Amino acid sequence: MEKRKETKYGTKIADEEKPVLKLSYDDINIGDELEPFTKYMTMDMAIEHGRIYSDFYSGHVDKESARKQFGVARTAMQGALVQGGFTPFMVRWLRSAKPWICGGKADIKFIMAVNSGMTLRYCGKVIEKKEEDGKKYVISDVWAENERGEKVAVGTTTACFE
Amino acid sequence: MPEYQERGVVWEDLEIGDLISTIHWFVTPDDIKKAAESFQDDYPLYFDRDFAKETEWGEIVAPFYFLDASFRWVVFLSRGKMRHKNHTINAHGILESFLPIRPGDKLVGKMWVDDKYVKRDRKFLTWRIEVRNEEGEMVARKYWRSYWTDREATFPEKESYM
Repeated sequence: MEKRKETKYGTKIADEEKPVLKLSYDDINIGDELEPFTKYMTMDMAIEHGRIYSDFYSGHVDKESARKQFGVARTAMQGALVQGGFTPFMVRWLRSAKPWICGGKADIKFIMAVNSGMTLRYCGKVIEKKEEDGKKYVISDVWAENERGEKVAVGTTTACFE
Repeated sequence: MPEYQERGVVWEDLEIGDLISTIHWFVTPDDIKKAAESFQDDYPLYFDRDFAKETEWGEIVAPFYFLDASFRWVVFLSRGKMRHKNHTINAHGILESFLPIRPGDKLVGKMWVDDKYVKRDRKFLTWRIEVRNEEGEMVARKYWRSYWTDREATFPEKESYM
């Protein structure tokens, strides 16, 4: 069994001398799968999200508007909110926000409406590693699919390592 | 009331290169927390000082999608005394983060019409939003493409107390 640091009372505690584990450029290989991330989409999320830009009338938060905007009386989640799910997905996989905040990129196409009640599963696979201007980039094919396996958003993410 | 508030701006009114408006933003910890909340992101780096202190950042930083919370395209339109006349549908978003955003940062965001075209009889328009810090460095950029429908949006009537 791995030896753990402990207090004088025998309580095992984290060893702060140990480095924090996070993925480095060299740890990642082309073909690696990114750990899936699941997000449950609810009407409350769309309403909460709409508040930040004072939206209380569009098809994202109002069923009657949704009928006029999307052709179905069912509110659709904001594209930015769907795209936003790629952030916890990337940060959890990388175990660090740094390669995402300092040089990261999310290039996402919205190919299907996301409605409240859906369960989105964010997935991805590393397709390229490259070095440019002294920085190292890891590019992944990514997508979000609903509980029926239908892709709702597809694109690429880029993580940047110094 | 400005013309474009009254009648609503349509796709044909906008030209590539048009600067829509400028937003100045003094970033507070509350702004960062609200951004994370609006994206249902529970990573404590964005709102818990004690947690953030133990990370590689040493302090709270804004999430990757902060631009989407504080510099939304509809808010730029509103600042430019415009509103869109017809419903739009998200098609494609490219979000890039170059530098971390921290509490106390003074940001300036601008939005332009980056591109517009017709494809299969559908009208598309791409906004370009750039956010810079006090040193003039670009901290985040977004390209946001939408399909502009011919279906008129219904905005709530403003109440008059006069």
